[in-house]
Amino acid sequence: MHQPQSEPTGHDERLQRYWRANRNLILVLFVIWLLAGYAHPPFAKALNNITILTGFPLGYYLSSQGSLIVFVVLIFAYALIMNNIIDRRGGVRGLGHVAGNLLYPGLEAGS
Amino acid sequence: MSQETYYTRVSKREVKLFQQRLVRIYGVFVIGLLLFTTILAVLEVNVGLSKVAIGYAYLFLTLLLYAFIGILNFTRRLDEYYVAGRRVPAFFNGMATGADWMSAASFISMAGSLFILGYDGRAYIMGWTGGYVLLALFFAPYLRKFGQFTIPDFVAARFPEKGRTVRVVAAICAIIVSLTYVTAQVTGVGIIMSRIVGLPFEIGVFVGLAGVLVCSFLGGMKSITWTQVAQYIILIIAYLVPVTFLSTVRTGVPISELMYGRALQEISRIEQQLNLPSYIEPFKWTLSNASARASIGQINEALRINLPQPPAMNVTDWRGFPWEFLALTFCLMAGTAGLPHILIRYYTVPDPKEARISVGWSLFFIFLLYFTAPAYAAFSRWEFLTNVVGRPINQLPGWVEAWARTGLLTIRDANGDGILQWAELTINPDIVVLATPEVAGLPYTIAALVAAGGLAAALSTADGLLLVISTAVAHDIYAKTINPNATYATRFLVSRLMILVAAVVAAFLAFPRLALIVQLVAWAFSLAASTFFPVVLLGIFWKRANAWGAISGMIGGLVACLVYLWGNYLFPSFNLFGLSHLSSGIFGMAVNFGLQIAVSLATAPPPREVQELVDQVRIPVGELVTVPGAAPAPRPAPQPGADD
Repeated sequence: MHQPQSEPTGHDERLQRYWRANRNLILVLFVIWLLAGYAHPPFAKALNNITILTGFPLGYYLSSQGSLIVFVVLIFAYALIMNNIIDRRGGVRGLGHVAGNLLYPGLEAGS
Repeated sequence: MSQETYYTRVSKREVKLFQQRLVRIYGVFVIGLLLFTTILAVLEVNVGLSKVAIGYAYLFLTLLLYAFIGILNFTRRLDEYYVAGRRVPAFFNGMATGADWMSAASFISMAGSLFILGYDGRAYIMGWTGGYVLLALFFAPYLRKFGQFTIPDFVAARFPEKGRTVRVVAAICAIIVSLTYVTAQVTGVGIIMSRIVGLPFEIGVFVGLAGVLVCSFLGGMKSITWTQVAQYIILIIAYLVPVTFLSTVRTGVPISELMYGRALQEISRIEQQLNLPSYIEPFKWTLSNASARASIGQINEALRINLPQPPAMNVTDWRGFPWEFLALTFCLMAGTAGLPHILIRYYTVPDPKEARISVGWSLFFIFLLYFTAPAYAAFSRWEFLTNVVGRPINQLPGWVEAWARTGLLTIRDANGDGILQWAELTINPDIVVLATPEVAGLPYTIAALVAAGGLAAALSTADGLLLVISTAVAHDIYAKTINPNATYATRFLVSRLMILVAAVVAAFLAFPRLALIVQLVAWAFSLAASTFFPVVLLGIFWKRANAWGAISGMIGGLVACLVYLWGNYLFPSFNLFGLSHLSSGIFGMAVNFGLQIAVSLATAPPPREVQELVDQVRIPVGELVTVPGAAPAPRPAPQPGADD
């Protein structure tokens, strides 16, 4: 397949570095996701003895609201960190076959 | 062939104007909806507008609106028909995904299941939200970069060694998953129609489907997307109004999500007084085949045949263990990330970065409803415990009678004392949300608004699912496998014909009422988790995965899931760790991953182009230039007048 970049080795290395950074971020967020979703339900009965806010048993609260808040935050955190930090640092703009975006030209990486 | 032919070039200014126009249109729509509801409520209270008239006004005006949007978005362009022209901004795609996602299960059936199940129902809340994290981290941006029309397209391009076989297997899986799911939506439509306008269940189903058809028939994904945004607005307003009102009346604070802690306290207090089982205690699962027996009975009666019924069984050995809860949560999460009608939504955004943000908006809009559902359940349980239980049976309010007529609520004075006890009341969870406004004594207008919301939820999901089914047949099986030279006119014809066929099949599948709406939907999730989730995940993250692995994985996963599902559904004593038929996806997933890895390693690695394809998919800018094995056909020349 034809690569438009002039130095293919530097290109490969950059791509690998970028992908490692992405993978590490995914791993961290995935572990938080596992904990938020699966760590508390087995202890729900014990946690229910604690009451918080307007009278919620804690185990019940975590599964009805606590986990959900973590899920929403995780997704926005991934999108914002990727779009604004990792993509920009990795300079992904030059990596694609077709640099930039055809549909929304003003919204591509780094601008 | 240049990729440019796929896209309409637009400037940044045009994008901004487009977004402003969207905000204006939908803003006017929100105000209009609120005004309409207020006027009807005032008319009802002061003039005495009849209930049937209000019901018809809501149901038919909303159906008319969806059809109108469908007609406005009529299209003859393939990219608009399949992926809405890939120009849906993240925020609005989030809303459309929200409506696509939140079906009759979320809207009508979920709060009711929480109402009945208590803590155990939380598996649905966590499962149906947590899956979006998987979608965001592992799927959405890569699928968008890949940029095709369907999920079988992705699978065929990723596994080109056996591109055709893998495409057909994936298309069949997509059809099975979506058909299971759409059956649940049709059931929801039938319940709403039968209660609100008093049509028989069977006729209600067909009237509702007519609304869906007009929309997906004409404009495909383009009209579905813009209809779904409107449907999201209707359904979220309809969901929040009654519960906010209940919270204000009961606690003085209009924030139900914060105040239902007090409802939980009150419920616990009443439960202790009346010696009822606890609402907040976790893991009270019973494996039962009551619904299997009931639906076999219904089928026998309707077709005048004599299928053997399994003996009644109740397995309670696994009470107090968290396994079913954890397994069901995981199946629902993995299923979220494997459902074709959700995955294709991320083809409709402009680029992978927008896809990442769009998942966030999707979950945010879904979260608004899921955050409120437990409050809905708690407040309505509180209402039932205080306003219904303990009343003399001949003095029950009128809505009890109305629901009893649909057969979804039964009252049996077991001890003959003329007073209604909790144990003498049998409530089908599917009616709790629809009945709550009346239980709380709100005007009937609010009940009709909720019904319109439920209809919006069911129809919006049905739209998306029917599109997936028809595309699987028209695009993947017909145009890509059987007749690659098919003209666009024939493709559209096959696609539209398939929507019709799928809708009718779903309507017939809905009649025997195989399970509760949430249960039917949970089956669809288990099936999706057993087929697409492992294949797409390994396709993106494991370059060594090959076609043989993918084919054996999908088939093995599907079979394993179906075997456990049917075995446990009919005979609950057939179980491992007390897992029910709802979480059969755990076994399907395990078999799929295992087979895919083992078979891939035992056969030749995929060709070099595939490795390069995977590398390209991982870069979030630009468009793919070469897609081996699945080179998309050129777009037909734009028709004058078909553009907007």
